[in-house]
Amino acid sequence: MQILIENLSFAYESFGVKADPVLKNVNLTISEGEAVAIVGLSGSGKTTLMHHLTALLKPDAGHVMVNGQDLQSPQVKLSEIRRRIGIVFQFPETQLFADTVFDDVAFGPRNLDLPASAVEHRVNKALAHVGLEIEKFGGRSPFSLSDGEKRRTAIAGVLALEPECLALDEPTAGLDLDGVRAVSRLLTRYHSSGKTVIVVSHNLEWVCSVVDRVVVLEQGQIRFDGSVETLFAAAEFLPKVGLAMPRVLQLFAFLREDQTAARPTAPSADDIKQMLAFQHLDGAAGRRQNDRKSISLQPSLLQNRPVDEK
Amino acid sequence: MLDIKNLHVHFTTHQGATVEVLKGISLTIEDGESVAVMGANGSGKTTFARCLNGLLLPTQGEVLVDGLSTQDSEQLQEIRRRFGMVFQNPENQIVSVTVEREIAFGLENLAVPHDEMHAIVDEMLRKFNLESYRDHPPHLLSGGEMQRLALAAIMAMRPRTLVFDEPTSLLDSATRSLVLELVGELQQEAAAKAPMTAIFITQIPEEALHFDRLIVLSEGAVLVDDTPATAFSRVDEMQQAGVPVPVEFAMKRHLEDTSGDKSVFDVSDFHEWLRRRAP
Repeated sequence: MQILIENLSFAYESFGVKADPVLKNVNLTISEGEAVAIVGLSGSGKTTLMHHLTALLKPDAGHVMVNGQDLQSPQVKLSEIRRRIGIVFQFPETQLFADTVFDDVAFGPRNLDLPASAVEHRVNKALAHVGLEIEKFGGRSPFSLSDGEKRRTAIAGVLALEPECLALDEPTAGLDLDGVRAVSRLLTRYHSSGKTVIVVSHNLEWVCSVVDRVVVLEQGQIRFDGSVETLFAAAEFLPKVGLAMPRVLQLFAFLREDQTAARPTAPSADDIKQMLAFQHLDGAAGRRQNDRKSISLQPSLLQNRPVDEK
Repeated sequence: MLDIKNLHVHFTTHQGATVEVLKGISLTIEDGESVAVMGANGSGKTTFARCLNGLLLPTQGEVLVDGLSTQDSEQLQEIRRRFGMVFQNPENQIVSVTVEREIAFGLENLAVPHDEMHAIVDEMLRKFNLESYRDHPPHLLSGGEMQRLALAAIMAMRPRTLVFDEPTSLLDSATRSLVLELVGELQQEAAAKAPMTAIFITQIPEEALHFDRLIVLSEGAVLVDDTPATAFSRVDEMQQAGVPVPVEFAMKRHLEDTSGDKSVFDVSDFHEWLRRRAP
């Protein structure tokens, strides 16, 4: 699935009066199978942009094309688009409603008039994707789950529609380390099955550990669009658009300056990604299983370490 | 002063099972302290916060606010007056039709004189960078803007004790620092008259570094109660409790692990370096 956004502008309306534009002439192409993050300050237009992907909002100017079809064209079946692009909203767990986790996740597929066996298959698959075992969780009330489990149940509800593109709005907000790790895993898993993943997040450091490409929005305009590697290399621009320099980059800069410290060489983007993963994902998991081999960050970091004088 | 004595809270699920959320917490928080609280989802942070002003009552033990027990229903109104709470999902606590009136709402209820109220509202709009939204209906704000509004509305009242339950989960790190600076500012302003206590629940370890004291909850009990730097240097213990640590503590631990050298760098030097470079 290809998503093409062309010259998109949009302003919200309140009591018939248009407010200042939230999106200004945005151009963006997302190809099939990409994993893209949209980051920016609050109010920069991230969520608004995401809502345009399935025509939840209509552009004031410009177009949103999905596989070459303009979403504003009367021939487009929006119900079809909304099934193929699954949106997970902020705090999606507030939308849980069914008596059991199974029924909640099954709600979407049941509405597609699928036979019971197919529904069950999809629920199984969706719960497996988010790492909730159906035997353990299927019969439980969603309201008895932890926050992280609730969030994953809500995401499973969207996955059960088997979208080709999964778009998530702040999927880690309020989650603890385990919850964040579980979301990271499910995104990586979903993406590696060839699906497109779009993540809106204010958490630049976390999101860099799960995507390949980052789009930075500032006041409704795209200020950066490139790979995570390029972003790290050009990170000085981040404070100019109001975003803080990722702490991990500051730490590497400090270590380079600090004469008494390890003095690592310039870290590769891979080192940085690994360090972020260590903090957010594999590190904790690795530690828990006492398997530290999953982190291979080390060599280039300590290369230039001064030899201890004995 | 908050005096929490052997606090237990049990819930009964609708299947009839008993869940022990808090399992005997005892601690004291002095007036004017700034305390961060961390812990995995389900460790009892929110339950703990809700016990402080009597939104939840102890199953066993007691919570004393300046000597008043939250179990004494006659005192409950007085206890609640001393607290301002900001919750995680801002939509749950916004009541007014415009941004300006949302900030004024609490002040009106406290019968703050008109001129003073206007001055405070203006100040909060400015501090939280919401001036251009003054007449906006709150539901048209973005998630992060709404969170700023919820914070502004509560902080405007200058309560004796501020309790924040993950109030920055939708904010970018620059705005998060701003919120923390404002909390510090309010505490300093208040210090001369009556000290203001801040209790800040967060999942973001860098935020906890701004506080003097860090309480880590794990499965309903206090796992660590120390300065943030000391707590975070126990990387394994923290990660096992589902609590992330700032990247510098993880890095130090990792470099020490792989090099066998215990002095790769000093975390406090990094913090000093960050302060020097802060704009």
